Amino acid sequence: MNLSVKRVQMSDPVVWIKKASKSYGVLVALDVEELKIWPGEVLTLSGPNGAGKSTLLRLIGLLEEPDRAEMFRVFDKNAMNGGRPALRRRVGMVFQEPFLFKGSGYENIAMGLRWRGFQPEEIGRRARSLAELLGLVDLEKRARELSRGQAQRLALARTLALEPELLLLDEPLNALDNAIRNRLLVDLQPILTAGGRSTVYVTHSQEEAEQLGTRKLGLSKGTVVNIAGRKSHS
Amino acid sequence: MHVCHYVAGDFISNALCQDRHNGKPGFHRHGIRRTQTGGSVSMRSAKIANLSRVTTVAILSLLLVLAAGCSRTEKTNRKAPLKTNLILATTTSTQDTGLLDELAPKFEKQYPYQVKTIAVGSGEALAMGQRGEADVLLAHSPQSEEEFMAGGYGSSRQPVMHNWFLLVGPKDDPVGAANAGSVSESLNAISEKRALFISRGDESGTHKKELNIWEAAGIKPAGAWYLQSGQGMGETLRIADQKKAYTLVDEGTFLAVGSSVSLKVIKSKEKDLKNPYSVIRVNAKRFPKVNEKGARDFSKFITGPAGQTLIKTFGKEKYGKPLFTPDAR
Amino acid sequence: MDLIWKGAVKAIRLLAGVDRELLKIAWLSLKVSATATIVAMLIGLPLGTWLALGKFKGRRLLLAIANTGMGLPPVVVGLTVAILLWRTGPLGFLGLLYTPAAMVSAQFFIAVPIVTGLTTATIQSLDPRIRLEALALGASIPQLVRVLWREARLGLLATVMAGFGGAISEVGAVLMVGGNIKGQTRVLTTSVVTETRVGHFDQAIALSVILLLLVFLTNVVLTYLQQERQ
Repeated sequence: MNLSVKRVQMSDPVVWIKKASKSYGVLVALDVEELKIWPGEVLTLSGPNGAGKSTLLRLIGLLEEPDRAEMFRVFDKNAMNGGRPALRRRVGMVFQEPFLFKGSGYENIAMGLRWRGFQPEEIGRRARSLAELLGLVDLEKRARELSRGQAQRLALARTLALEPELLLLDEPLNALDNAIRNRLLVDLQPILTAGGRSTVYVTHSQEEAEQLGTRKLGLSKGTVVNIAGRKSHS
Repeated sequence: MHVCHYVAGDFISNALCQDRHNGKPGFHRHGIRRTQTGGSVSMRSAKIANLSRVTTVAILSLLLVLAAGCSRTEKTNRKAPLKTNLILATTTSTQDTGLLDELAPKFEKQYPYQVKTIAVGSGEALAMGQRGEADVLLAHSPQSEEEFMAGGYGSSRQPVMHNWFLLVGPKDDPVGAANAGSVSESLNAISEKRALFISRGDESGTHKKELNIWEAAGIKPAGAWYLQSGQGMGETLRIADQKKAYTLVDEGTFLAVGSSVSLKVIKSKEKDLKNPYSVIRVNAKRFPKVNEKGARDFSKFITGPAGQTLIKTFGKEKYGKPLFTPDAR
Repeated sequence: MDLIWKGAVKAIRLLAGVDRELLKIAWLSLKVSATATIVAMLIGLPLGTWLALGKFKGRRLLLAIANTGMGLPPVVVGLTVAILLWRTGPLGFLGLLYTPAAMVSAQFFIAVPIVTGLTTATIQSLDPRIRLEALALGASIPQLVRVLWREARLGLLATVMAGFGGAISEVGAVLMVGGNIKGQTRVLTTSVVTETRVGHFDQAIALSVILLLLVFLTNVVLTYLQQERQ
């Protein structure tokens, strides 16, 4: 079985947004002139509360539609025509306050995998691997009884288990104390771009942004302010 | 063109790849599928726990529904020994005597019908006949029956039996109605002294009879002392009992219910108080959906020797005397 | 008072003696109401969920109709079903009047607005994050619905209990479409009416006790399902 990483077609952006906006009532939550996300990059997103970070993530995650957009493409044009549920399965999203389902930690991880038709053996293997990686102590414990830190890590494990092509992480480690967080960052980093995958990582932490991001984006009042990093990726 | 993404790292070594054939997402497997031993136990036990409760109830409910479906064997029973429905509309007071509970099964033994006895108010029973919703009627409301026949709704009307109406009242009989010579005089006493009287007020046979005897006495009953219950005989009796009032009741109901009320018979067995029952076949020419043969057979049965004998002796054990006097030749 | 006491005593004797007629009536009550409730669930749960989640024109109107249905006077349902099933009525050819099937229909129409309306309310009061989270994890619509129902189990089972309660306690409608025919369409509620009318209080009380027991036992089962393992 071949475990090597294969090089991926890098010519097209994974996400391409042009002149997209989203409002809630009179509040303009997001107004993006242009944004391209390339395969294999980690885009960190920062900005004050209410800047539109979560909105942007929800749009990219295809959970909401923009009010208007000249171009809004995730993956490719064919994919966009193929129906939202299929697309969503290729995107993995971790919310800022993740919701854990009834049942054990294992069942939470298994949920998305079962929906995709994975067999129990594979589900078990992925669950155990991620539990080990993220330091999840007890997968049989009821998810809602977990401490905040464990819960957050469980949510992360749940999404990573799906091995999506695009990762959208909304402050995924903010509940962990520094020591654990730093350790996890090191372990997580390769996963964020494994196999040509791209990640959008929302964080308030400068250090996280420095450590992880290949490109840094700032959002303020719904508009993008590019801070640093390569604009294109070859 | 086949583009594969493998996720790096041993810990998520996978035999699956995300495959994009012409842009369509999908999963399929490459290489050997690794099976795990012992690792799936927690998974399995979780599944079992999840299934057990809901499945049990689902199975139970399914059984219940199936059992309910089997109760529709009355429909299949109808087809098995070829039983057809016969809708017999009658009054609640008739039903409450219990006569039909004995008569109908006897009839069903002899004939291939399933009798559906619908007990409603007199007015409604006749109205059902006028709509062709019933096949045969057993009523005791001569005036309304005559109108019914005159309107061409029935194809035959035959006397079946009779009993008596009773003027009943409180045990202490405050107006001395019992001492009066006739029921008309009793009514006079009641209305003059404004003693409480409860009327059925529901266009039933009893109600119509009651209005008749008021008319015969030359009285138009009205006022705070004349109350209308709008309900069946049993309920009306109970109201009269509660309010210590007078009322008109058929013998059958009074014998059946009377023990639970403390009213006594004031007047009975006068010509004016006769309560004749007739069986009417609903006109099948007018209402083709009527079970004509069933109606004919029932009519024949209840006016024939079998039915009449039953009627003659009905009620003897329970009430000490028979409830009805058979009328058919 | 004396009468009631005598009635209660007789009731206990009847229950202990397992009167055949009583059992038959009780069993019919259970079958009819259970069937009506189950069918009401099969339609009401998906319908209520759809009303809760869907975004389409006229949704509010449909919701208002469903909620009105919850307060629908059962006797109106009974009359309507009866008129439909009359021989002269549009569905008369089915020959369903005065059969248990007709009673199931009437009870169904009484229960289904309750189930629908309460389901919508239950789903709508769920944490909105559930839907987003499930969709984000790649749930299809049926999978999403299953998650929602699992999370809403408490409310949904209460809905079923309410629907069943409404169905089994109905008198007027069942009387109209069933005819209260002895041995065929007589159920607990209509029997109570009949027995009371002729003054058989002991029987009426016994029937009432059984009815209460039936409802109680059903709710015990449903509550057991509803509550989580501790």
